[in-house]
Amino acid sequence: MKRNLLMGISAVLITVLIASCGLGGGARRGATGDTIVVGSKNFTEQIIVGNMVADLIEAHTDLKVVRKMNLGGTSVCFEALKRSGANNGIDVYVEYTGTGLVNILGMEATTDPDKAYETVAKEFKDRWNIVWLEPLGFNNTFTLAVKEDFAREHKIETFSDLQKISDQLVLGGTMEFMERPDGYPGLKEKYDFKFKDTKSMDIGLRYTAITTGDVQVIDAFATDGLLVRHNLKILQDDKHFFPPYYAAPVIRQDVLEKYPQLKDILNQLASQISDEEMQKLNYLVDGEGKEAAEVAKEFLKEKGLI
Amino acid sequence: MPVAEYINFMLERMDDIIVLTGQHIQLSFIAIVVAIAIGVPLGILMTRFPSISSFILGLANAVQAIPSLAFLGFLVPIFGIGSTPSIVMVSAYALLPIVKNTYTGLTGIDKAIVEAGLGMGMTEQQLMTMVRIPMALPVIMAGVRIAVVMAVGFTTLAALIGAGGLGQLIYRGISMVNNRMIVAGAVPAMILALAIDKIFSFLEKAVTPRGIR
Amino acid sequence: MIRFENVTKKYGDTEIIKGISLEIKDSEFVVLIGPSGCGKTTCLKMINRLIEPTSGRIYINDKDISEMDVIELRRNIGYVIQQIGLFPHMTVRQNIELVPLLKKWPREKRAERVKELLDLVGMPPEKFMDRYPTELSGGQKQRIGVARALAADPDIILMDEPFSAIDPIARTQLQDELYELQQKLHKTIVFVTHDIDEALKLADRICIMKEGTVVQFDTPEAILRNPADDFVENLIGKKRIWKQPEYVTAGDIMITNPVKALPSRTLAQAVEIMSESGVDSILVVDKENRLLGIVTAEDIRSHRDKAKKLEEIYTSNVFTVKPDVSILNVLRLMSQKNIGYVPVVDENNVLKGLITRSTLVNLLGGN
Repeated sequence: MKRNLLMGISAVLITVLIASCGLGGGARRGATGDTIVVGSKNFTEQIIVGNMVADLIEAHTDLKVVRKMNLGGTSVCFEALKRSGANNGIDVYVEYTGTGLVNILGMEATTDPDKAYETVAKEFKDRWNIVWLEPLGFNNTFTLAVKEDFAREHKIETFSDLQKISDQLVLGGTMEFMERPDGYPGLKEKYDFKFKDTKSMDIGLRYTAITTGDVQVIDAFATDGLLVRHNLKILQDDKHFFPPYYAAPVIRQDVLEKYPQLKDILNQLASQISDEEMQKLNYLVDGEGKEAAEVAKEFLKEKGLI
Repeated sequence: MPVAEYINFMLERMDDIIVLTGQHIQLSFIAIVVAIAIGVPLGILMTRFPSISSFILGLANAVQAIPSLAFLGFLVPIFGIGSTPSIVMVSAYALLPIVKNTYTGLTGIDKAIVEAGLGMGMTEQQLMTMVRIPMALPVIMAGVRIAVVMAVGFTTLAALIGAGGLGQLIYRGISMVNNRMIVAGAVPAMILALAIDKIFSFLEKAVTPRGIR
Repeated sequence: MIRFENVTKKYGDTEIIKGISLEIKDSEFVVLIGPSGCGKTTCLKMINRLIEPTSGRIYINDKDISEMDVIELRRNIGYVIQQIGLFPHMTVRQNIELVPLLKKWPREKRAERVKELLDLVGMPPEKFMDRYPTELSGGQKQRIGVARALAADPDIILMDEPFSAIDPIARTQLQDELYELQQKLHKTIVFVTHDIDEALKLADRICIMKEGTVVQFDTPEAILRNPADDFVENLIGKKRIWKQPEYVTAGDIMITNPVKALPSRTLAQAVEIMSESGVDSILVVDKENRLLGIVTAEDIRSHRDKAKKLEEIYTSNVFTVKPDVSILNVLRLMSQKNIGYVPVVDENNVLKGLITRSTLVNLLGGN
């Protein structure tokens, strides 16, 4: 009787092992051949540029591309990149210089975009053998936004203008923004903000919150398409607190060595997307409900890259 | 916001929804099988070695208390992204109700019954397979049922680590501020949870020996 | 043969069995009795090693059981506990064939044995075999419990208060059945109870225990005649007739609700009352319950006209006794006058009860 039970249990275990290998191993087996795994974080802009990277590789090489879009945040993407696509991770995704500098490297923020790029490029190479390719052009920096009519009414243009009435306002920010040293904690110190209250919430919910009036100020990405739809005004960082967040593909050195052509292929994207263009692309997805993958493909075609 | 709009959106995305639901079922199912394969023997082991029972229960409780996102963040460096870490996380969460119910089911049996079995010359193993397990089966299945419903819920998080499932629509919908997309993910997930709950409540009855129904 | 040699059992500092030595012979029905906590159940469970003694030895057929394989030992000893000891998830058949299954009997032999045993305990196999314990009455469950203990034909059967949770009527019947069974099977039975009536009825020998020691271990007759001390005397209190019958009074043993009728009843009605109650005589009383006389079935038969009233035919010349009269005197009266019944009345002739020959026979028979 006991033997039967044990055999039953081990049979189940073996089945499960085989099944889960089959599931998880798809990417792994392929990647040891000629597969590139492209990742992205879980917001619209990332999914668009992630698809651009994937489309370019598909169009210009014979490599098989696996898309792992929508991964839950910087840490998931970066940890996955460290493992590589051949090992249940990814091979390339698009990262921002400011995020690389402050979040991943844990270094001091800088307002000099070139210095920031040089630093992350050097450090990533030295520490993890990861290469920063050329920046795509736009600077998706953090910023603060208020409703347009609110800005008009109170004559607010800059962060310093906002500071004067901040004790009457509630700030809504993403959880990441509220915690990061280059986010609210540093900002508060730099401008001496005295918000009545602050609320952390998920990315998309900030727009709902400012529309319903639960908060008056939100953090925003400079290229965010939804700013247009919700009639929000971006304020100027007049004391230059936020570091630049230039987007650039980050790729594993070993992948580049194996497929050297990838460098030139992906660098075709260099300086191709301006802040306005990125905001428009984001709006096409968030505002008009188009598929991020289609928006990416259209853009590449327009630019004659595929 | 007319309901028709939501229904149209779901119909438009039907292909996606079906694929993602399939992934969702597969991920939850494997996770629950793993949780059963680990949880039931663990519960049995606890009855044999009572000294470890509080330790194991405490551990399962502690795992349950880890915030799910933190758990995922912790698993990615170990397992990478994709289905493996998702299955590991969901199984870990599903473990507690299974271990707990297995243990209480096996130990909650009337002392007189156990004594009758021993007095008639059953070995510990025979007592386990012929008496304790059959009698505890309804309680164990009730735990599995709780675990399965939980697993379907937690599997939505799989989307955050590239394993797919209905969470993909939900999280995309949240970041795009697109309620229709959230609903297109949430409604199938809810229906799935309810359907699975029904199936398992039926199974629970089916495994209950007639004499103790 | 089961032999205890200086057996003790301690839980922590509490010694609940204080050095017991006793011997149970083959085919003997021994009842262990005493107040709760006296150690009777502990003693029983030490025989199949559900409890191990702290010191001392127990021998079965001169073999030290602590040196025997415990599983083997238990499979060769029948064990009956209260009705909940049946496995609720198994059918009657599965419950009964359990030990044979553990002993790896072939299927046909097991099936045959189940039928045999169900017949033995008076439960038709085709009717009960596939029922679950929840579908049985308390008495039926206990019969299955006994059948299960007998399944592998063990020489020794241990019974731990098997009938205590059963209603009194079913209990009496089960006791009778068990007694008859034992006359047929001649097993060595060790039976724990707290009910002295049960002990007196079933036992070849009774082992009276108190606080972990054996107070008296003897036949029921010997215990009734010569209780070892006050404790035993108290325990058997109700049965004092065996020792001092002169102190038992008519009031103690009389039937307190004899069949009676008013003198205005017709003979036809009286016949009806008697047949309903299954008696062959009826006491005639007035409205104040004072005894007027008696009418027997025979008296009524001798009168053709059944419309006659009882007052026209009853015999007023009746021998009566007072409630405080010793039963020895009642017995003497009945045998001298050759009568089958004596009404018990008080000083005002109010009817209190009735003593019949069968009341006395039952009493003297031990029950």
